Amino acid sequence: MSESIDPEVAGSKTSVNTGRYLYCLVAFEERELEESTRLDVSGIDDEPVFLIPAADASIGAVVHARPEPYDSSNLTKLRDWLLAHQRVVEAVGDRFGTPLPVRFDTVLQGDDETARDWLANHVDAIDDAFDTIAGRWEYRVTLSWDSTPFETEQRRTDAKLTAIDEQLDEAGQGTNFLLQKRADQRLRDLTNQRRDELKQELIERLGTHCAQLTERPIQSDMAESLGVDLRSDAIAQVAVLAAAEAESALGHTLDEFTDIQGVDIRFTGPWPPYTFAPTITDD
Amino acid sequence: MTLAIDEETDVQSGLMALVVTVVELLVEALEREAVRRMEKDNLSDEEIERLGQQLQRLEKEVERLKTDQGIEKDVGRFRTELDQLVDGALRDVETEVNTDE
Repeated sequence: MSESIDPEVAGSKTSVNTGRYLYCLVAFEERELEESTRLDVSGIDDEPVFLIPAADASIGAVVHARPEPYDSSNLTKLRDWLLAHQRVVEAVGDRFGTPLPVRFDTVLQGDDETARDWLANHVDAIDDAFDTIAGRWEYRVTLSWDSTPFETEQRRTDAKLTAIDEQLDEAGQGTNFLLQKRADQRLRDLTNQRRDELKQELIERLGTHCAQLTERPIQSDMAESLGVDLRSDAIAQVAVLAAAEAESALGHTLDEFTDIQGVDIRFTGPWPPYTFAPTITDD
Repeated sequence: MTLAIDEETDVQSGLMALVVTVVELLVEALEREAVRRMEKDNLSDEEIERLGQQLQRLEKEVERLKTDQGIEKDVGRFRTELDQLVDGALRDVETEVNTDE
């Protein structure tokens, strides 16, 4: 038998069919909050969102009542849920500082008391995680590069390419075909090398301004891509964990980078540190 | 590892696209080998000319096949998926190597 949760008195009763959908964890001043507190943000499907503080009241879990994970094969629905999840995490970040995000669709079985026990059982791992992320946010950089100007210049200046070019006029049809393939290969090698150099240079420049950095697979982040398509010439996506104060230095470094011909940078953030949040496991 | 045949493509057309993808990749491998030998001066001028003409004919034939069967997009898609499969496999190997170190 499932029991509905009175939104004003969340978790006052225990039932095998109760649960808490977990958005993120927060750290705050001890004794700032001692009771389960309704937060001023709506969750997935407009569910009321609560903060459940741990027994020592220095960390807390942001939840709404939910007995089981969400499940749907409808991509639009999934995206709506994911966006609602992220809205809650961002609102919580605005109020409490950098939150520790939790993977989408995590449900703790049980009631508020169970959630408090869970926090107590994992307090060391949670404290370690907050040591890493406190005062820091995630920024994401997508590097795109239009290689056309580079290729045009290489055709004009690269010794091997100009040598092949000179042979083309006098060559027979078959030889011409293979010479063209040889030139294509040479240009591909030069372009790939330049692409790798640009990526490395970006990572080095970013590295001087951040605590952690990681390269992500190039993809459209569902939340980021609203109305904005990933460029087809995107060559790298990097996530950095940096102090809020480092944001303008990061931006300045990236501005300089865009002076390089053909380079385009997309710089987003601050985000809650989704990429850098360690998994808090039960083992 | 799976390569999906689009629902809108009938099975025969999908199979044809898969076969042509493999042929296209083979032809490209042959071209790369020919260029490599040309660069190493392993071929005479006549051999280069003959090989070049044959490969050019092969490439034209593959293009004609793609156009006639209307499978250019399917072949393009298979190639992209194969690239992603290979990239993924390489990343897995890299991760394993890094874990072992």
